[in-house]
Amino acid sequence: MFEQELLEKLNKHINYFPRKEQAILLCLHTIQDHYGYIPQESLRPLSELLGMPLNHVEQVVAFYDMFDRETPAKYRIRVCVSVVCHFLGKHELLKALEKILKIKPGEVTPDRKFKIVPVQCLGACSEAPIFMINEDTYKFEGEEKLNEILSSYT
Amino acid sequence: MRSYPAIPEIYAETTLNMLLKRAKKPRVHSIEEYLKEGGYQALEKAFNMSPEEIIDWVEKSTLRGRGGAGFPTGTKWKFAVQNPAPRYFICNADESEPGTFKDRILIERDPHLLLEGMIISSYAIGANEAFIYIRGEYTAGYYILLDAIKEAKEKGFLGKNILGSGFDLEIYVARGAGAYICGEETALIESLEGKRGHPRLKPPYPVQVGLFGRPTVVNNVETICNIPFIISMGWEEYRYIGPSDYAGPKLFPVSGKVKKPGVYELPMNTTLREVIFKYAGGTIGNKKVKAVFSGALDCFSGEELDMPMDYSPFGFGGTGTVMVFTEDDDIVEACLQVAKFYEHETCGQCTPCRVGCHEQAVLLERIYRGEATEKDWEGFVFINRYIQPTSICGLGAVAGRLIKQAMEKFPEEFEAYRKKLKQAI
Ligand SMILES: Cc1cc2nc3c(=O)[nH]c(=O)nc-3n(C[C@H](O)[C@H](O)[C@H](O)COP(=O)(O)O)c2cc1C
Ligand code: SF4
Ligand code: FES
Repeated sequence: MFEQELLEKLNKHINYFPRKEQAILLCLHTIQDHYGYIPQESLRPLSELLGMPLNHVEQVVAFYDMFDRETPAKYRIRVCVSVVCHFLGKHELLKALEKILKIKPGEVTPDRKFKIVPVQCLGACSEAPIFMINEDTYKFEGEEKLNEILSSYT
Repeated sequence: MRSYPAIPEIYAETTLNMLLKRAKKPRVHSIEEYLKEGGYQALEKAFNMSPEEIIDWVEKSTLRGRGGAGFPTGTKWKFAVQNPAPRYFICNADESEPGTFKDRILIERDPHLLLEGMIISSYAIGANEAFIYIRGEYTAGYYILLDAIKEAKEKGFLGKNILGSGFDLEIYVARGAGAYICGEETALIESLEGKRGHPRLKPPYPVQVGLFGRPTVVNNVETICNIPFIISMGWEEYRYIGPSDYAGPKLFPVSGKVKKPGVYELPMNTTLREVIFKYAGGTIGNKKVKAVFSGALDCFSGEELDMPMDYSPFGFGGTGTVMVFTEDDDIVEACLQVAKFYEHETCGQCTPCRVGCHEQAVLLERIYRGEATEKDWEGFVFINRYIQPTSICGLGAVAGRLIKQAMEKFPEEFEAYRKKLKQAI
């Protein structure tokens, strides 16, 4: 079962929509924010809260890219690798991240703090190259600035 | 004011001062500011009209959907009201097409324009529950919408008996979770029902059988933001903005190799050349425009810059997304990125689309690396012949389109890779 604080948040989502099954994505976002990923053990209690079969929840988690069932990480760094960022500096951005964090795309730092995730267009292409750290979106403006931004996540 | 997740500052400019009147400034506009500038007056006016009259005005305005397909909005609403209530209204804020970031600034900077448009639209089609489906990565936009809805409720623009009209409406905000396909309207509906985003076979169309099996209208954010203007100005005056058959303001998100990338609000008789040179400052290093990609949908060459940015058969169409490439950019490399996008975003439901999108990316990768064989080249013809007719949704229908156009318009670029290959052998 979920601890009280998390359970309250989940119940708030479930009571928000006209039908409770509509809350599944909001709940999964909240679970991922809480644990840093979607733990397998969370799926059965979630399916009970939502009143839907466990395999339905499993299918939904597997379908949507933002959910990570594999690696807990406090902060997910989503790097846009789509066409505009590709031509306007994604390589430099990835290189700077690899240098600072000493991990490659898809990997997580040994302290499980940062994970680099390549993603498709983040919808801020005029400011390319673009990356996100959990809920925040940034323009890459050189290694020094990147280092500064990363150190502000504690 | 509360603080929201960080967002980079996107430049915006307008010659019309309509959709971007406030949103050209990079900050959230509160309900007080919106009201001070005449906000929610279109809603009052709409409540003095019948729903039929509103639909008639929207039809006469020539407003077409800004979500990509360009379907006439009034016609869509007319179809919906032929089917019995309860009906639903959905705002599509999934914006995930590469190069597209126009809906984002409307949501993040002028949320009440969108809400007013949604309330009028819901009243017109007779929906008492409406939803906004926003892509999971637009985190700030999500919180901004929740706060704006709260503000609108406090002022009596949402909830029961709005402004004494007898009309009730609740607006709910749902978040996506990183699936481009959920922008396709039937996939969006599935997702909003708490399922995987697998598109449904059409017909029936959402206006017949949509959310929870009920008649449903799905409209794009930008489309909806036009509605308050059509009501407040009247459709006749609205028709004077731009060409009268493709009237109204249009937002063009411009990115790539231009000096002033950003979102531009212009009438649709603007040409692609004007968008790039008159507004977006021309190209970086004053280089020649080689190609323009309209998202992942169409490839235009530098010879086609005089086309109008409208929805005519020879117009730019789509979402208005302008991605500029100049003389030194490698079109094959750009096509490879587009192929990877489709490979990643196919929902996998139809086998030809799933396999074809994968094959297309593999083939382009081989060409790009100079490893393709003559047989590989024929693969493209095969992909284009089979994915389209067998696909349930529009993604499969267009997955090979941009790349096919690029091969036709830039044969020498692809030929160069063929030569590279021959030399290697
Ligand atoms: C693969 C695919 C993705 C789409 N993504 C979006 C999107 O992100 N936003 C959007 O408004 N429409 C999108 N559409 C178009 C919608 O299916 C639908 O036509 C549109 O939301 C209708 O609104 P409109 O008539 O106001 O344009 C997409 C279509 C397809 C086939
Ligand atoms: S055409 Fe492609 S994206 Fe569309 S439903 Fe079929 S598999 Fe999914
Ligand atoms: S291509 Fe990177 S944000 Fe759009």
